[in-house]
Amino acid sequence: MSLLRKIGAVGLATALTVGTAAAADLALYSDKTPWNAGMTGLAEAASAASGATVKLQEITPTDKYQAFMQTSIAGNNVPAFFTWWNGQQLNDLVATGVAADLTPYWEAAIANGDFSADQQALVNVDGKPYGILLNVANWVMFYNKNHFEKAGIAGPPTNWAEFVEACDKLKAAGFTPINGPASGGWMPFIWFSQLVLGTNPDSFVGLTDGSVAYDSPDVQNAFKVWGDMYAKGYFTNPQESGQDDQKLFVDGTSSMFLVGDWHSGSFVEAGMKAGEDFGTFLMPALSPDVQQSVIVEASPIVVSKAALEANPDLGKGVQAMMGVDAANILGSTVQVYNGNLKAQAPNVIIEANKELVANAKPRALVRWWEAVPSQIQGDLVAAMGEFMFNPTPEQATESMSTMQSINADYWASK
Amino acid sequence: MIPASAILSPEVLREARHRERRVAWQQTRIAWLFIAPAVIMVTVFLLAPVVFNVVLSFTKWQKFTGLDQFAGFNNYARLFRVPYFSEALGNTAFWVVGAVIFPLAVGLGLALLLRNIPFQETFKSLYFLPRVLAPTAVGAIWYYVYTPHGVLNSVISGVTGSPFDFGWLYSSDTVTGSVIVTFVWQTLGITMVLLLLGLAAIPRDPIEAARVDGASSGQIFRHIIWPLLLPTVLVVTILNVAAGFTTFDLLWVMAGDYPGKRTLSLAVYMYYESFSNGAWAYGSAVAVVLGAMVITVSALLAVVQSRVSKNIR
Repeated sequence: MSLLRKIGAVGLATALTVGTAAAADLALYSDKTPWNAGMTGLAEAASAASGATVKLQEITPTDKYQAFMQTSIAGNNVPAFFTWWNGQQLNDLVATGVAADLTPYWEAAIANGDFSADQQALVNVDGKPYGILLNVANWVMFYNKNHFEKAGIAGPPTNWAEFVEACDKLKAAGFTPINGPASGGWMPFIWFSQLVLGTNPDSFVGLTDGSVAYDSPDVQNAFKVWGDMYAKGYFTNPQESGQDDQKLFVDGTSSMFLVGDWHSGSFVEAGMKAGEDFGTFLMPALSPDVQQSVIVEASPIVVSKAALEANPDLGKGVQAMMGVDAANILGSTVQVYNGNLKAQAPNVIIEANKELVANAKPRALVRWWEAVPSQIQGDLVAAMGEFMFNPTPEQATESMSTMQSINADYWASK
Repeated sequence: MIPASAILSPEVLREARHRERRVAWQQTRIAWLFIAPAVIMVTVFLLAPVVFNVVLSFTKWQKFTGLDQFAGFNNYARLFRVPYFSEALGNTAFWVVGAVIFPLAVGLGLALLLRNIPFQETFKSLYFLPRVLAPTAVGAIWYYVYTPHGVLNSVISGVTGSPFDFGWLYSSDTVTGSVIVTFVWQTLGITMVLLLLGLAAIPRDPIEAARVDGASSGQIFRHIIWPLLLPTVLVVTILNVAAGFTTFDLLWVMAGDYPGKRTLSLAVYMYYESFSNGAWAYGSAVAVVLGAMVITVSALLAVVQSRVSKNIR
């Protein structure tokens, strides 16, 4: 055998070996870097149950991850498992036909008492579930207990007037009341959403289905309140946060941070003690006449229909990921709660938030990011961000006009 | 001994021609064998993606679907319907002008200054140093120069004695200019080195003769140095025009938090529409237009450069 042939044979054998090994491994793709330890635990649980080798593959940042998934799916190369978003984002994905219908697994999980039908609804499209719950979070206001004490605030505010009073007291005590980052390109929607749903929750829902305009009176009111809050110095400068959304909260510059309670683990990691240094409260509506609402965020893991059909044993992996052990792995490693009713709450804050919601019985709303059509979400949030960097009445008018123009164009094309 | 009639016979001539053709074909085959790797690389990694990109721009691909649906010229028509394309085009024009004029003006000034001074090599190395850094690293460093509590504002606060926390990278009035300053800082060295090479190639005789005839330094520069340096200036211009049109990394790293970042340049707009918005077909149309602009402007400048070089010869 000539040298060339030997090299060729060795190369072919290597390629086949590598190819076989690669084919045996199934991927669990994720863009959630801070949760890697928990995601690895889920992959291991799925591997042990199904007999397949499921490995975590991480791609960040989010826009790159979404681009990777879009091109993979368009090229009919769908990963076995991947994290996604619920709401419109899940609707768009399911419309492609690549996601597996997980009805049998959800029926088993509900019968077993792991999850409820309400939780299943978070990942439903046309009545069928297309995701394993990875995270179920309530959007609450985190507050620095030491700052509240120093500012002489007796307890968490229960209505808008008390909230404004608390902000004034914090400001007088030398703190910036609210951490308002614009990090990651998506955070500008946080306060826009909160102030619209605080004005009128129906308008908030209407914005996401095209029935309410982005320059309607309720949105104008939200921008007015938002601008007034900036004028009074309630918010941190988004320029100072950069890409580190929690920096100005954990370093003691600001006293409150409105975000999903999945963030509590990051505060603990940064050195704050849950329940001792920080607590949470539900944001009040802007008026006592308006029903209190809470944003519920749910992140699903989607399973490839093709992968499940090719390897039915993967179903055992799906069951394992929905089990209480997997939920406790997520809770203990990265303090993320996936909603499993038998699982332990990852920390005292998440436990307390469950009670807060149970007692106040607010209207639960899907987060704006997931509820709005994904085709226009980026352009809309950019207009909100422009206001955060220039919170003037003129910019508010311009942002509303831009958003309504984008919104009207989209719904007119439907 | 071969008779002359045999040498000139048609059979011999035919055989000679055959042999020539065989040798030429063998040489061609060998030549193709040598250039094949390069041809394959260029075809697979450059031409095929360009063709694929052009094809994509005529599809309806957005997010997951539409790759197999023909859109005609809809994506190109959309360029003129939405305001962002014209804004990005305006900023790109600003970029191209800034990326050509400033490095050239400062680079030429430095080249003339450094031409005949001691420690020229040391100065050249110092000015060239930023060029060896990756643009993303340069962007990350300069980001901290421009942040509200960054180096620039600290200097201004120190000089004026009052707090100054202007967000240079967050205002539409200053963001492009701020990044152009960084671009100039990075490209100054290579521009200066190229111009120094051009200056070194200018013969000394006409300059000495002009000086003997009483010409001033300004006259010598305008009538002798500048015309002879023009071909080099045009090469530098072509390089900087292409860089100005396609700059993405500096803008993305430095102005990543700026909400209006999508319109900072056509290259950024192309990336934003494709990778952030999932409008792959529309992003491809932006890429095609951007590519056509770069090719057209560079070709025009190359023609001018060629004519100038011929005139000098």
